[in-house]
Amino acid sequence: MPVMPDFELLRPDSAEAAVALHASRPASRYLAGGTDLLPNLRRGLADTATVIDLGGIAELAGIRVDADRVHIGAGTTLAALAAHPGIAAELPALAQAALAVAGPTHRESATLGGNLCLDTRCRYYNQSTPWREANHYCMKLEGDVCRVAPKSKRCYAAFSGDVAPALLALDAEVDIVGTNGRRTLALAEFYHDDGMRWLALDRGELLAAVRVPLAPGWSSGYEKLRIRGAIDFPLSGVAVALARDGERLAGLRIACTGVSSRPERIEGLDALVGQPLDDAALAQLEKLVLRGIQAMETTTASVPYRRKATPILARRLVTRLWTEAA
Amino acid sequence: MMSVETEIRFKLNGREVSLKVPVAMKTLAMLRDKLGMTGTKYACGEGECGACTVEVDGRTVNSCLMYAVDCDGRELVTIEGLRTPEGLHPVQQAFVDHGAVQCGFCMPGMIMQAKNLIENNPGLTREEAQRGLEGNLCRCTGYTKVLDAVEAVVSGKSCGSRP
Amino acid sequence: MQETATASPTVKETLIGQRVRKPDAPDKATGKTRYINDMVLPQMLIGKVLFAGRPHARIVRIDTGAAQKLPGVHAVLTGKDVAELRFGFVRDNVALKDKVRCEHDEIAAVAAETEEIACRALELIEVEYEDLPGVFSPEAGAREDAPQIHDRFPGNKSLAFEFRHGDLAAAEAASELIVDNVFRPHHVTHCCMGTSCAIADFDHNGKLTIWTQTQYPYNYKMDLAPALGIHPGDIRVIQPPVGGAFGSKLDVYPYEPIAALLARKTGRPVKVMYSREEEFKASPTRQAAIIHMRTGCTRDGVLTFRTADVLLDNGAYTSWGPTIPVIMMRTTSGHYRVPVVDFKAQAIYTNNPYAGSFRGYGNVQTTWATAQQMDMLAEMVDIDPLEFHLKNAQRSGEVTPQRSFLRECALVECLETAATASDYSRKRKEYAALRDAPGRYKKGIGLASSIHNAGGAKIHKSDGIGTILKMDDYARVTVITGASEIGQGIDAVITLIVAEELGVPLEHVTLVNNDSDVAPWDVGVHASRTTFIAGNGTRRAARKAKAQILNAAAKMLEESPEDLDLRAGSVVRNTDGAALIKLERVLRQMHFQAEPELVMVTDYYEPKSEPEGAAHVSDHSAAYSHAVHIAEITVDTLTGEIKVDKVTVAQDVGRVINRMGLEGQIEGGLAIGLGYALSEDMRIENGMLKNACFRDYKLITAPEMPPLDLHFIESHCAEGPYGAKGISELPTIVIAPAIANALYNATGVRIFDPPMSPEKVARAIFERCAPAGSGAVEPRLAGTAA
Repeated sequence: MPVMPDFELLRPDSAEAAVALHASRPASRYLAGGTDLLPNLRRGLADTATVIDLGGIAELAGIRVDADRVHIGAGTTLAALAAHPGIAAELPALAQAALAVAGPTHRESATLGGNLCLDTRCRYYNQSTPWREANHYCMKLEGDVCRVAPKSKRCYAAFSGDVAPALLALDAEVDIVGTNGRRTLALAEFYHDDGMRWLALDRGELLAAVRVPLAPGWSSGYEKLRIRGAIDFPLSGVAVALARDGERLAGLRIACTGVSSRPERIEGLDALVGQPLDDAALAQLEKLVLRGIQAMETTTASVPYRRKATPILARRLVTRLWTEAA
Repeated sequence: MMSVETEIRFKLNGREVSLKVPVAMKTLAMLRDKLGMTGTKYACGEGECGACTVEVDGRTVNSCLMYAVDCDGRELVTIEGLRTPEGLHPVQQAFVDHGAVQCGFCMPGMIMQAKNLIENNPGLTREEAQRGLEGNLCRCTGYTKVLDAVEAVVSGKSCGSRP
Repeated sequence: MQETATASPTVKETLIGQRVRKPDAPDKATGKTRYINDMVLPQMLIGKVLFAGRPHARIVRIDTGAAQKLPGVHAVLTGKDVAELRFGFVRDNVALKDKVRCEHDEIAAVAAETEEIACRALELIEVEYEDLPGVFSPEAGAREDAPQIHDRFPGNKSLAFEFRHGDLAAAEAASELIVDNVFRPHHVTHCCMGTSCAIADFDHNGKLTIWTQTQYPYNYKMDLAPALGIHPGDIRVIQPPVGGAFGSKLDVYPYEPIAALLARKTGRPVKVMYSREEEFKASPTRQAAIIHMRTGCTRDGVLTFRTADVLLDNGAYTSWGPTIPVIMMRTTSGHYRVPVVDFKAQAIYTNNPYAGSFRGYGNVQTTWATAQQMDMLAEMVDIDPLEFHLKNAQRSGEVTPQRSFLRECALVECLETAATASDYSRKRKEYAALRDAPGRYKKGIGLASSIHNAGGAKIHKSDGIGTILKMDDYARVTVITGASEIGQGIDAVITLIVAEELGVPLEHVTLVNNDSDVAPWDVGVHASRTTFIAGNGTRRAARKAKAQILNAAAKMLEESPEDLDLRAGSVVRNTDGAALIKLERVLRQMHFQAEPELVMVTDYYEPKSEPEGAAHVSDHSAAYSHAVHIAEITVDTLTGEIKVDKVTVAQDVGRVINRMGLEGQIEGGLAIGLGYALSEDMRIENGMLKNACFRDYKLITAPEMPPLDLHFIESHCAEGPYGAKGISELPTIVIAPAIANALYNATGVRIFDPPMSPEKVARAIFERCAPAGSGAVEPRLAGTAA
């Protein structure tokens, strides 16, 4: 079995303690479920002297449903998220997205926070050290060229988490703990369009919780395109939240994953609100989705296919939710 | 770097265990290399195949994605822990009876996952079993006989095979 | 479901066709089985290999000094240590390379006390390479100015094959319809769940013991010896339980001699085991090929000729892959009545990974082409494909142009059974009519068939098997056989046959089959041969033992041996089944009588088949068999996703021996074929594999497995054990083109280069519907979700 790098393991019991430990150790990393970090450590994609295990922090766990919002600790496992009856009933996109991640055993370990902070992925990056060495490395690690866009100054590795688009469509916000205290960000502000710096976390900051507003009258869903039914990152994933008022669209939010360096919230959909969801509206919707994504050669499936399929997924899901809301 | 070893205590198949493990060691390596429990298999080491599935506090996880130190204070069940003095666990017996075992290399993980699914859902349907086993790769069986075995455990029916 | 027969001395019950469990299943299901990957020997060192990680290069300099000095390192080897020890069919391979010819070329190897130390030592080896321009496709390799990969093989030419039969020009002239396509079957790999592993140990007499996953322990010695410079007789091969093989262990691959070289150098046992990534990169693939096939027929739908011009991507070295034309030409020439045949194949060295044998060997690739062309021709003739197949199907007793003698041929029955069970003809018409109707999701049904050797394949001087059967004083039977068990279930078949012949309980039979110093010769587990060959060998040995026992019992009982039989642990009277004496008593009396005798018989069974021969005109298998698959699918015409809803299988199995094992082989073989058809794809770009992990190389998972409707046609093969034929490769061979034909039925598009990934399917549908340059999807496919 290939060898794991050695390191120091720390297990704080509060978010503040975790942040303080992180600040005191120059090369440290947070560990939640480990389903993303451990393979990356093993492949030499992450290097660390200190691992701060978040598993013992009580405040990171648990789901609380209030009158107008749901509060979810970042340490909640995806299995728990998918199985929570309140979430399945009120926020189906979130439950469906959680259930679309990897396989059942991964979801027992993998956490909400981990999936939101998932490392960006690229076929030139998610490889072993000897492979990357043989392929002359890439900008994201040890190299200086982005292999999918050689003339670019930035890295185009793709964000491939399933849960983020669902939460974007559901208008969630996140609580962040740092050495200077706590702050709250709209989830849309949490991501940057950059494969190397895709999270708006300052050094040592920790994602502690997610809050999702409950919106009566809205329905939601998540759909994922992949080559097989499990243990597969999305070639493209689409989340939709939609409100219908009779024959008119009363609200629409769409977010995509796997097709940019961040989960993309699709802009311009407000123009469709107040209108019937006819063929013209659907065509407009497809155009807006296409405009909002930036698929690159980061997966083995081609760019044209992912560009073509993402609007189709969105259209399929919007149509379904629209029909169900009648 | 010097290896940092940590003392851990946990329950393994019903027995208390205490041992020192390097901090970077995975649960899979601890089971196989430190404890000689080779029933749990290495097939990918990256959480992509399910061959190393074990139960931790009643939930199934990929032991290659879990640090051994995280076993501290927990309760582990591995494939070796299913057998009782009376014989094979009913899920193991059903896999044998229904021809679900060919080369058998993925089966410890597959059986751990199947057992967990059945225990948590006594009315498990074939389709639910398919979804529940989606993280366990098998190259020999095409999963059909695996699903037959799971269905048989749930329904209590036998297929009349001979030993 | 099959009723269980209860053993009773008064009724002659047969076990043939029953459901029998694998004897090793309980240990495997409890984690008790000690696979080779689990083995640890005292004093054992861990070997690791340094791979080149570049496709084509000269090695300028290797410095192993720092690695040798690392505490815990016992040996470091490089190509200099083994330069002259060439091995492989054409002696083009060597355990450690002097030049880089593919990404996974083994440059150096280390033996150390732990895996950690071995890995660190590899990092300390300094290698300076001078990269050379590479050859990454057979077309490129065949060009005059192509870089040379081996000095000894000018023009990068590897193996070539040819077979011609009949007057092609005349046949072409007589053909009213001709289809002409280029098919490009791709690289896939075995993905055994247990990664490649070998443990080697030399004793101080110079004899090597190697624990290996090999599928062919006896000829393995002959192939391994030159890589070590020792005599094949000085090798003992032990085969512990393995995590799958599927053809991947039918040759010697460099990690095996490397383990042995390290063991010789250190004087200690050395274990080399691949990680999953190494397994993807360094184990063999299925042979990739470019098949230019043409098939002709008359306006009435009678086949007139078939030609195949095949270019094989040899990869860097020659293992079994480039030999697949031997089987490709059998299907090209012998599947359906093909009066005129022109087949040629040329393998070209490239800097890609190289292919071994893989379940369905050669026939997966050929049937991908032949079965699609049959479907195309049927449409051109404008008759139901079923009718077209039936019109050209052979009957029992026919002989193919290569002289394959189809003694018992159940092709017609297979076609009719599968078509009736799936309601093929009605559905095909209905779906074709809906092809261009509005609606996003389309249903399709497709039929494909193939032929395969089902009684071994005499590509070696002998296709036989040795069997030793002995019984002890308690009527326990031990069968010592050359037949290898790699998960497929020959253990259950042999147990069943012994129990059937000797009337002993299944659990009283023990199998010894994993040590070349103990068990007699066998050619290996491959070519759908083991149930047929080992089944016959076992039955013959058991019948010899039975005759010996009945003769002795007849003397004791003063009866005639013809009137006696063995049932349920006793010697019984044939006519009324009355138990006369316990079998174990007979055996003890035989052993301890005045003129003692033990039951210990030997047998060498050689099937009645002819050696393949250089002209490829021979009845090279003792039996041939057919299978028909009918796939029913739903296609999302916008995303290109294919969902397989159901597969109906009708296969000529000769006779069912172990029903449960047979079903398992068909289901599992079909799953490998489904992955080939839909999702598995080694993405090799400029010789470098881009998806060396299970996340990116996509085996099918449980939810993708469709319901199967299996029909076993029993043609009662005269030469087969109880009438059985070999069965395990056809399921992998036939499914992919059945899905391709269903895709055509659903959408009107054809895919020539597998896998039929969502991307390729969506693009093909888009191109069919959108006239070039319009950039628009036609309205009929743009409708909202059904």
